[in-house]
Amino acid sequence: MLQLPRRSLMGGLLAAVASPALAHGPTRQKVTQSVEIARTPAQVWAICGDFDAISRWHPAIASSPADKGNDIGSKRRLTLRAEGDPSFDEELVKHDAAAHSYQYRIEKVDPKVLPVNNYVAWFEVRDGAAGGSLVEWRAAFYRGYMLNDPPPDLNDAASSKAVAGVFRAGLDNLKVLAERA
Amino acid sequence: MRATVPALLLALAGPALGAEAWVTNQGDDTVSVVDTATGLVLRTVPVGSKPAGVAVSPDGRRVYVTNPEGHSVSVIERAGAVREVPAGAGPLGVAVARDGRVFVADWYGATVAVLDPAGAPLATLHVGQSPSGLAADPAGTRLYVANRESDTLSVIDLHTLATLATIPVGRAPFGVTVQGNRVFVANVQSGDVSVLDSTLLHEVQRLPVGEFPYAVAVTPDGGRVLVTNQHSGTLSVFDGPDYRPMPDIPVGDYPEGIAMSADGTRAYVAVWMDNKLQEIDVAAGRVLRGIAVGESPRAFGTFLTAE
Repeated sequence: MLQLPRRSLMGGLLAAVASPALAHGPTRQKVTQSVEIARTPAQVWAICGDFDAISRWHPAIASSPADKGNDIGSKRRLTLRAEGDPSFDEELVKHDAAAHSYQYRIEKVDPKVLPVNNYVAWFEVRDGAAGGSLVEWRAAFYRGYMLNDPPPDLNDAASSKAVAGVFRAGLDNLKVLAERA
Repeated sequence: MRATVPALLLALAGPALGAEAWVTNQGDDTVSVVDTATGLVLRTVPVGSKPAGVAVSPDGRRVYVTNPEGHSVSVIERAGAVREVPAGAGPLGVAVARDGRVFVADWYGATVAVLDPAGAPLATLHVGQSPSGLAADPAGTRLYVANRESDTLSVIDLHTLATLATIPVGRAPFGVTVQGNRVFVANVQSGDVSVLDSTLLHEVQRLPVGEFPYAVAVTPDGGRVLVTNQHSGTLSVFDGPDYRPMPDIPVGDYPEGIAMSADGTRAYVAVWMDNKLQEIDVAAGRVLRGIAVGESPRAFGTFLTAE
């Protein structure tokens, strides 16, 4: 099950002190997760290719309606299966059904929900081994705390761990769903 | 394609046959030194923590690398020795003036540190918020500073160190490049490039580019302008004195630093997500080859040696 980041009150206060004027800290983080699925890319893409489909295959996401479908600029509102029904928007940057890939970004998210800034991600279904698929999910972002000396739950390692956890939970569940079909 | 490299040269791992590209690898705290003639990584130089900015000195003797998380600059003798000197809370952009003085932007300090060629502090300049890209003109008269959170470009007189002008540009200016009497500034948030006249000290043209532009390279004759677009994974290309848009060049995910060869025929682009240095045929507008470098290359600055 997905572990959403838990934060102390002190962490919240520290985050509030971080200057909103600073667009990012010094070092962009990179997270890549992938999974092999014993179905063709077309079969896998049919499950996960639509921008608004993520709530149908990601176990931590309760709903994900998108205002403009797969058009560039479409925004999907993710509501999480977590206490208080936290939600945030993701915006579609590119969608290429022929290449089985899309790219999206997060304009703004509460660091208590996902400790990232300037987040952009790529989702792609490629040819895998023996006629199967390789699904790759990659992201680039800055940690949840913009200034030097971040608190432990908003530092580079914690932010990367949170994103990797989200990706891992989604990909593992996508594999189960696709191979069951 | 290029000729095969003689095995003897490979075995010697000797001096570069062409210009060297000094590519900062933020993910593994190193610099990859690439021979652009052969496409070989000549060596990998350990530097400070999370290196980002880079500047080759005009005389070609030294390379300066900023380490944002080491709060330092690595002063690298091309001949071999590396020293790390302190440089503010968040050193990012770096430039070297013709006289050898080194300028280092402090992202957190709204300042630019002035260092002597050995890295000893000489002065501190006050600029806008979150200074990022720096460019010193070849004549040795001016320094340009992109102030990312102030949406301005500071113009500094290199003789007096006074601020001559603070010029409004697009939103979130980052990379700065000087060519002739033009200054190019990549505006990350507004997705365009400001073209400024360095004599008149104002913006003369605004070029729409891709998503999240980062840095600009220009041919020596000023005739072709290439811009890295981080989120689009492309280069925007402009041609001629009126900057006519040409087809984009796809280069991979998250392109960052870009530099032009001295003869204007090749450009080199660090592709952060793909851990590659892409070699571009500027006239043809296409990728010639990808060279594997270290983890998360940024190469933010003037990272090519003359030859």
